[in-house]
This record gives sequence, structure tokens and C-alpha cells, in this order.
Amino acid sequence: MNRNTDSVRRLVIISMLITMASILHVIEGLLPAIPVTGARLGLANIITLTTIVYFGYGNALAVAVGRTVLGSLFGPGLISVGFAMSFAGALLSWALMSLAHKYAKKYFSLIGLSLVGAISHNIAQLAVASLFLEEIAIISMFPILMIFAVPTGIMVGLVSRYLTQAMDKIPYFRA
Amino acid sequence: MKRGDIIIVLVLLAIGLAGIYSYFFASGDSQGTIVIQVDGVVTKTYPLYQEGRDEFLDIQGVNGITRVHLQDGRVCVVESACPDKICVETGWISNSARPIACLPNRVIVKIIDSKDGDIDLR
Repeated sequence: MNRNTDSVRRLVIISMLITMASILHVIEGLLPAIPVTGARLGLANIITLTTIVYFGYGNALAVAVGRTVLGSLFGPGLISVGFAMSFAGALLSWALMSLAHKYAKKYFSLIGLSLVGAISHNIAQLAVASLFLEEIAIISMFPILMIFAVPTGIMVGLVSRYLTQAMDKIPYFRA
Repeated sequence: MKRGDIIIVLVLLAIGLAGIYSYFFASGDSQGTIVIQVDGVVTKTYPLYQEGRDEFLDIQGVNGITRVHLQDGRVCVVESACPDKICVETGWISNSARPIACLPNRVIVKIIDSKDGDIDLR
């Protein structure tokens, strides 16, 4: 019985997180990108990062995959360059943030983890874009994106910190 | 902020500044070539420098026309059949450090240096 309510609770919480991440994904798609570079805020990363530190790596993967699929259904659809780019970005940033959280927690706060996420997201997106365009020179966008990754990554890290602090106060979220 | 955070920020800023330097201050090659690609295939090439040139080209992309403006030593995209106009906002390019890419229309305008072949990653 107890195990059953636990799995229901997990289902509810993960669904809520996927919903929030999808909405952030869609909202971010509606905001204009920073001119020239296509740099974006990385809002949905707030939820992936929070899930990693709060509910573990497996649940975070479910959130990352769920929100890119759902978020893209609201936007460009699943057979599109946009979906391939955000899917690859979400997967790589989930993988590297999880690794950094697992092995280097001592050295990184949430801000550092979110910067790792921003960097890996950009790498994956540029890689997919250059694959689709068959043009390696697109990688030369990378340094400019890194400049924008600093303020957006710090912002995402701060928001995640406030979010986890708020969730600490809600008994329902405690494992 | 922990020590690792600060190291990441400093590394990112260093990479970014190095990139900006090569974007905007690397000099053009007098023997360079302007290459226009559609969907990965080279469709047109022009010499980078041609005295007094000031012409517009209409390139047929996947979704429509991309209008390219050629001048002596530089090139830009002025209009394109794409939603985000990143290619237009890229502005003039005059060296191989930075290509103009229109992802939705699959059009790429880039400059190739004479000395180092097809792919240039400076």
C-alpha cells in the first residue's frame, strides 16, 4: 500500500514537472532570440536542473525527454530541425549536468551546474545544426554563445536555487 | 558561488572574447572567395574583391528566395524567406571567421580563404 502511494506520488510530481517544463519551453519559443546568435534564456533548464538535484537522474531524464517532445508538439512538430536541436540539447545537458552533480558536487553550486547545462545545450544544438546544414563553420558561433551563456546560466542557477528552497518547505515534495 | 562556478565563468568569458576578436578583427584575404550553398550544395562562387561591385542576387532556397547583396570585399543577406531573420541580422561579413547561415531556407553564404582549402576553423 505504502509503495503504491509512493509510485503514484512520483507519477504526479513528474507529470507536474514535465508540464511546467513544457510551458517554459513553449514560452521561450515565443520570446525573440537574441539577434545574430540565436541565443536563448534556457528557461526549461530550470526544471531539468531542479529535478536532477531533487528527484534524481532517472526522473530528470523523463522530464527532459517529456518536455522536448510535448513542447515541440505545441510548436514546430516532431519532424523538424527545431525538435532535433532541442532534443539533442536537452539530452546532452541532462547527461553532463547529472555527471557534474554526481562526481563534482563539491566544486559546483546550482549556478555552476546550470552553466554546465547551458554549455552542453549549445554544443549539442550547434552540432545538430551543422549536421543538418552540412556546414562545420557553424561551430564558429560557439564563442559568442558562450558569452551569453554566462548571464543566462547564472540566472537559471539562481532561479533553481530559489525553487528548491521553496520546495524544501513543502512536505509533499520530500522524499 | 563555489570555486568551480567561478572557474567556469572565467573560462567562458575567455572563449567568448577570443571568439569575438576573431569574428570582427581578423582581416580578410585578398584572394578570398564568396561561396553560396543551398542545402549543402555549392551553387555559386564569386571573388571576394571586385572593384566597384554593388549587385543583388536572388538565391532559390528550400522555402523561397534569399536576397544577397555583394559589394567589393564584403557580402550580406538583405532579405530571406525565413521566420527568424538571423541571416539578415548577421549583417556584412568580410572574412572566413563567420558564415551567414539561413537555417530554415538552407542557404549558407561564406567566405573561403585562398590558402586553407574548404574548411576553415580559426
